[in-house]
Amino acid sequence: MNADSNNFDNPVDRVVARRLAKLRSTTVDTTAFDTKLREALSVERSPNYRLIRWPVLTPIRAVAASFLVVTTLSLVFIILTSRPAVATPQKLAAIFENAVSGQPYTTKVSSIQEAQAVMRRKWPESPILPDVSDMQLMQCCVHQIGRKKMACLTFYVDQQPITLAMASVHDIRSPYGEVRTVNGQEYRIGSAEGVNMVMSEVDGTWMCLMGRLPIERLITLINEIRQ
Amino acid sequence: MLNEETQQRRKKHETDEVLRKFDEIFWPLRDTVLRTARFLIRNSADADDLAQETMIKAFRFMNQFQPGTDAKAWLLSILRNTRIDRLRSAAKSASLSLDHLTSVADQTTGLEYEKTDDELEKVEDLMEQFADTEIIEALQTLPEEIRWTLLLVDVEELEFATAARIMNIPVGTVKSRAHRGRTMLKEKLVNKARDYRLIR
Repeated sequence: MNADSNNFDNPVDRVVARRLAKLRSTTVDTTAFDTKLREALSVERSPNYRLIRWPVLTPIRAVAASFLVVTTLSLVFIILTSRPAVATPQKLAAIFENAVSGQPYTTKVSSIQEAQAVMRRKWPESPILPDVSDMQLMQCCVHQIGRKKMACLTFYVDQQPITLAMASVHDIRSPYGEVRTVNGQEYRIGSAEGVNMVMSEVDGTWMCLMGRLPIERLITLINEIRQ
Repeated sequence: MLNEETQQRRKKHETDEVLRKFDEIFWPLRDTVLRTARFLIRNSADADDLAQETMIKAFRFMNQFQPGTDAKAWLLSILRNTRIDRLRSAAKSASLSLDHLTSVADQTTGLEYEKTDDELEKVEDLMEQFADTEIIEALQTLPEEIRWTLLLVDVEELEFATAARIMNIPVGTVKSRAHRGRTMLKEKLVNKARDYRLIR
């Protein structure tokens, strides 16, 4: 078609084009190709293969797929972050060790008013600390389990450091474990690394008292604090 | 149960119908696809692989083919797009750019000339002295885009407009690439002839 019907500006073009056109008559042995192609087509025809075959990613599908992935990840993130974090005994024991060891992020306080002021500065939404003015206060700080914060106040009882951790029940929840009922009030108890802990919920506030005192003593103390 | 059987039977009928159409329209063109792929790529296994992928894609997307339009051009478009996809992924893994293919193709060779009838006859004789395999080998040394142009315009003898559609470039670019390609190919063969001492 071209070699003869097109107008060639250059005669050499015509000569080369004519020679190239002859290549079309080159015999192409398709025997092996045909066998492989038929096999591939039979796989392609199989209904099961069509089910497992990945869809072709057109730009629109790619955008839709990206949107779906982002939405799913966002939903998963929202669900995970909106659920309260579980305060396991191991995590609480670690928090206790940090709270009593006088880490730089802890602030020494001498009164509950001072502790309240420090907490308000560090975490404006922190729960209101209970009045423990008859205890010897040591320090206060803010700790985190995952992305959820808890206010920690450390003081001395029976010459032993005790830490009171407080958070919203929407942020922190007690782990499943042994429950003790005292005066009709349920306390969840736990222990890790030699640290005992007693947890309770009052008016939407989760609180945990932890230290190396016996569980019974901690229950008595948390009961007093609650009142 | 009966409904399921009817659906399966219908599905089978549809698949058979698709295959019948494929056999009728595209199967006879498989040698064109295979030949173009083999002329385009030196490695015959890669060429066969490319041709097979092209035919399978044609089967998959047959519903996008408009009956009555140029089936050969449609297949060659798929072949070219499949080749580009492969080159892109190869370039990505080798951190190369595809742009150089086009830029080399569009560089001017500066080999403009006017031939006398006598010289032209010599060129024609020279072209005929080379076996098809030697011409193909020389063709395969040309830049990718030039090769495509010569394969579509000269070997398959497609209209410039059809080749332009397949390559997604203006007709003028096809024409200039065809001219440049023929000149480059002639030069390659002249050099080869000198090596063989066919000419001085």
